[in-house]
Amino acid sequence: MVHYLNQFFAGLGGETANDTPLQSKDGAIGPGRALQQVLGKEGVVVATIYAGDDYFVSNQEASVEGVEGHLRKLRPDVVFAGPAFDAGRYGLACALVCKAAWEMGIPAVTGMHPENAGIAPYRQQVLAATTGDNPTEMVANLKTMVRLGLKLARSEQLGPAHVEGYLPTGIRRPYVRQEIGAEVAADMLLRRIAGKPFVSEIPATQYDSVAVPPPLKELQTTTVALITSAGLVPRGNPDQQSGSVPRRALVYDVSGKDRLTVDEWESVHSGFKGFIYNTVNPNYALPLPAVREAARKKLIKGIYPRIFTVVGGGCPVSDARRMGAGIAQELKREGVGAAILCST
Amino acid sequence: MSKELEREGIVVAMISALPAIPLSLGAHRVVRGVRVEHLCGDPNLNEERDRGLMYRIVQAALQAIQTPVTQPTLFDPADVSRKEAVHAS
Amino acid sequence: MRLEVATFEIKDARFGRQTSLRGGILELDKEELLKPVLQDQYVAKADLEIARPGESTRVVEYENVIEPKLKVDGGGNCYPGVCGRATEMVGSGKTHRLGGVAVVECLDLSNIAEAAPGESRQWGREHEEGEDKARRAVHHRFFDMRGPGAVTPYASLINICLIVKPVDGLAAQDQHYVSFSNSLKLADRLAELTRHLKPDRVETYDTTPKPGLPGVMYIPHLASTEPVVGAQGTYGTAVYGQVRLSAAWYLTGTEMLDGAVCGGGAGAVSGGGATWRMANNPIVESLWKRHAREANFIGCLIQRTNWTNQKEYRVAADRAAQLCLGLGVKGVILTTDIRGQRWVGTMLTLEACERAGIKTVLVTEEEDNEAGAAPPLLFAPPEFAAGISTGTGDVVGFEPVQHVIGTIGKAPEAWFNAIPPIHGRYGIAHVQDYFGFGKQSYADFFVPPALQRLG
Repeated sequence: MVHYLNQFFAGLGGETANDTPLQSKDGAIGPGRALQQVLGKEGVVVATIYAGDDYFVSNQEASVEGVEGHLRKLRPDVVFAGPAFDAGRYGLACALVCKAAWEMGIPAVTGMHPENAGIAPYRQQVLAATTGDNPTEMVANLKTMVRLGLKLARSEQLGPAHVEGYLPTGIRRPYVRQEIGAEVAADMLLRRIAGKPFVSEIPATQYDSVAVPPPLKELQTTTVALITSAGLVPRGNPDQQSGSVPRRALVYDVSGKDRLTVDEWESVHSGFKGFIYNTVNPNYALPLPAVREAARKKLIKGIYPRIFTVVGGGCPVSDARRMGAGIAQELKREGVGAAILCST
Repeated sequence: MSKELEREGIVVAMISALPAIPLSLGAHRVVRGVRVEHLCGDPNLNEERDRGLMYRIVQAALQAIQTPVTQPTLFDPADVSRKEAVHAS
Repeated sequence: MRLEVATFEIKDARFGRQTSLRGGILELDKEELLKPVLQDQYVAKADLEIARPGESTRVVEYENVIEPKLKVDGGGNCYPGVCGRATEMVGSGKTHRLGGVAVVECLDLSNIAEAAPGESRQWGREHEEGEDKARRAVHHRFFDMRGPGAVTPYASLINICLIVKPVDGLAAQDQHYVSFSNSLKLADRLAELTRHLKPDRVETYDTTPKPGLPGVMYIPHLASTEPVVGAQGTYGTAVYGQVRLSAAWYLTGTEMLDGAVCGGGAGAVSGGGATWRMANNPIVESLWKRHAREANFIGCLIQRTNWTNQKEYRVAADRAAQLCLGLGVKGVILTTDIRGQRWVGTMLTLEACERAGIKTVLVTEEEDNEAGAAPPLLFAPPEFAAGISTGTGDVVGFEPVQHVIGTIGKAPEAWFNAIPPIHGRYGIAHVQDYFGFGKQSYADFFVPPALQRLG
């Protein structure tokens, strides 16, 4: 077994030793001794690799290469990193160490608080025992890490995150419980009311965030594109838009059109939602006349002549991303700086 | 989908009758629409008021495009004044 | 309220010379039972067939599954308010129920002319072509009695299937009225057989709270068909017959057992026939199990969705939280009956309850993981903390079958074939385990990177 630690847990000091370069020592250091105790006869901590958090995070490529070099020489059965608790840079270093080990075919386990930002980009590639933010719980956390590590070493199947005690990875697969869902729900509710700890079967999700584009102050020089997810298509649906997977974005030219008419357009969005768009006013799904008016009043330069229409309901995330990226490429190419997206 | 557009730096105003959805998913500029079945207007109003409502929704969208935001923000057409709120200056 | 539920376990059902119940065996006189159905002026054709657990049978074109129930004491009739039935309050006195058996409402619409296009447009059917139409039909309107695809609770019931073909020219809503009303009457007829018989067991449900225990409630979010059929519509999940977008109705746990919430159908906006699944709702059962022991089951709040406007959802959510506060409720279990944009209602109720200090547990199917690219829920407020997943609705596949029940005359050949696996995602509505009937779930797993690359 090989253990990875940062400068603090390696006993070199805190902030002052933050730029300690990556190195390796025989045997266990600091909490590595507790790790060895927990391992008992099941494994030997043959070496400890350590580095300053700042050093690792600022020299990621070199550090990872260094780790790979050490691991190639040491050939451990399992790598244990940290636990890093809620320390972000330490968490990142541990995540990268584990990732490197896995890529060399060596199972690796770390330990981290659910909100440790360091592991965020690597949730799917790194196994991290769930810890709190309290280093006094070190031994209990190491026990979880060792349990997971030994399972991996024995090529045993790992159970789900919420049962085995590791951070949700974002990869979800079928799992059959002992009890029916309603019973588990009632028990979980009573635990919550009593203030007892519980583990949700569905993790709270982080949605990937995008940097907010700065506003456009000078709208009168801006062309605006119009996009609708109401499935608006020319009447008769000549291009056979449907809600099946994979989704397509259809494009229609509205140059010279002041408004959409019921005779020429319809909504293929399923069920009752389409009724008014179909029989009363399709512009409710794409406010063409109002945007034309804004152009006439010189509030904007004009409308991009092609409108994009998709069927929004129940669209798989990957389809939405693909269609969005496609539209974005075209608009960027054509110098269109803004878009109004009508979402039903 | 709006996030892909924002990723390329295109400023997006999203009109939705259920703003909680795009706001929770991280869309930055969301305009409150009327109803799922008639997003940018109201067939129960007379023609003139309906037209005015559609225009105010578009004004709110254009205003959103001109407004700096740091997090998902809701723009309400009701806050757009009846006069020209978007200036061609 | 106090309700005694007497269960008569049915061991088998078969056709015979006289409709009777003896020693747990239900004998059915087919002609006698079909007579009143055929006398209905809106019924063109009708038939009766039995599907038993373990048989190589597929039940198709089904709308509702109905547990036969009889109110012997306490007022009202079970499944109140729908199809013109009495609306007198239920949930007290004594109810007989047939265990292990159900009447299945099958609506055969093949070659039936539906009323004016304007009506069908609201159902969106004319837009479904090819793959979409086939997919919807397959996923919504059948269940298997055996094999890997026998994943619904109906697979363990003896299903007495009433197949109804309505006359031409009815609106969609009226077609469903014809099959539902006749199925309910058939269920009544069978339950009536128990009136003077001795039950296999009697369970007593008493809503009286035990002092000192925390109050809990169940808040199911049930989509309303009002936007499609109007406020006075007769099709859709109904509370005492009301399908409209009403404020939430407060129902006691005993009213739920008497079928106060029922109706809908496989094709409805509200995500599937509610009758059996609400009268046998496992969350209601799990809260009853703990009532006056670990918590007080204060009752249910039937919350409607389909408001189509967030401000209205917000009002409904705040009202639900306020009612819970007023009743001293400490925790609630929340469910939905359809995913997609109506999910907003459930999320806003969750948010309102949590902000009011009421602990929530959400039970729901989840969205397709898309190999780690998509989150399990469409979205959830920051207040979401506790969820039970009943899976994505995926099914490994359906084997070919020897019998297909649900059409007048032999069903189309395609129904007899093996049906490919269903990849669970939004829009798929086969399993529809919104209430936690099953043990199937999904969970986060660590998949070693090498295996991830292999896909």
